[in-house]
Amino acid sequence: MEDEKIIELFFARSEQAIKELDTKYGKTCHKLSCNILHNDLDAEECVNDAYLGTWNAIPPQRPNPLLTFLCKIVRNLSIMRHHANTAMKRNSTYDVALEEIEDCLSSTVTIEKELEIKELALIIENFLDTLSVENRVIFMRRYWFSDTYSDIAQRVGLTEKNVSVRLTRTRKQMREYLLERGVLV
Amino acid sequence: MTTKTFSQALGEIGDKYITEANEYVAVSKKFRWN
Repeated sequence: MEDEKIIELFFARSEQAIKELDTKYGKTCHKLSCNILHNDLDAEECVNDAYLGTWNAIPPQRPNPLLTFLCKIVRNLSIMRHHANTAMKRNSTYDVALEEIEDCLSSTVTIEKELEIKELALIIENFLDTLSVENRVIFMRRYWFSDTYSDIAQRVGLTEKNVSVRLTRTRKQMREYLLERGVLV
Repeated sequence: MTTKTFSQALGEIGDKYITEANEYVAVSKKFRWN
C-alpha cells in the first residue's frame, strides 16, 4: 500500500493503519531496533511503541516520507531503551559501531563548553555534504542505522572489505573535519 | 566528545540523509533483483 493511503487510514483513525504500517515497514523497523538492542523482544516492544507514537502523531502530522519519520522514532526509542538496559552486555552493533568511531572523536583536551547537540548536528550535516552519495549512504547505514559491514555490503553491492576501507577513510576525513573546525582539539 | 554526544547529534541531523540512505538501498536492491 502506498504511504499516502496508509496516512489516510491514520487520519480516519482506522486500526488497519497499524497493520499496513507493519506489513510495509515492520521488518525494516525491527532490524533497526535489533541492531541497537541486540534483543528481539526489546526490539519488538520498541517497534510497537513506535507504532503507537505514529498513531498519536498522525494526525495532525502528515510525514513524508513515512519511513524516515518511523525510523527516527524507532531509533530514538531503541537508544533510550538501550541506555535503560544498563545491565545488558554491550554487544549490539550499535555499541560496536560507536566503539569503532570513538578513536576518531577522542581528544586529550577537554572542551569546557560542550557544543550544543544541534550545532554539532549541523557540522555533521556539512561534513556529510562533502562525501559522495555512496560514501554518505555507507556512513549513515553504519552510524545511524547501526548496520553491520556485511549488511551494508549486501545493501549497496560492495564487498565487506570495500565497505571497511571506505568507512576507515571517512572516519579519518571526519576527524580532520572536526579538528579543523575546533570541535576536537 | 563522547560517543553518546555524537550519537545524539546524529539523531538530530536532517531527514534528507535518512531518506537518502533508505532510498539508496531500496533502489540498489531493486536493481540487483532485476
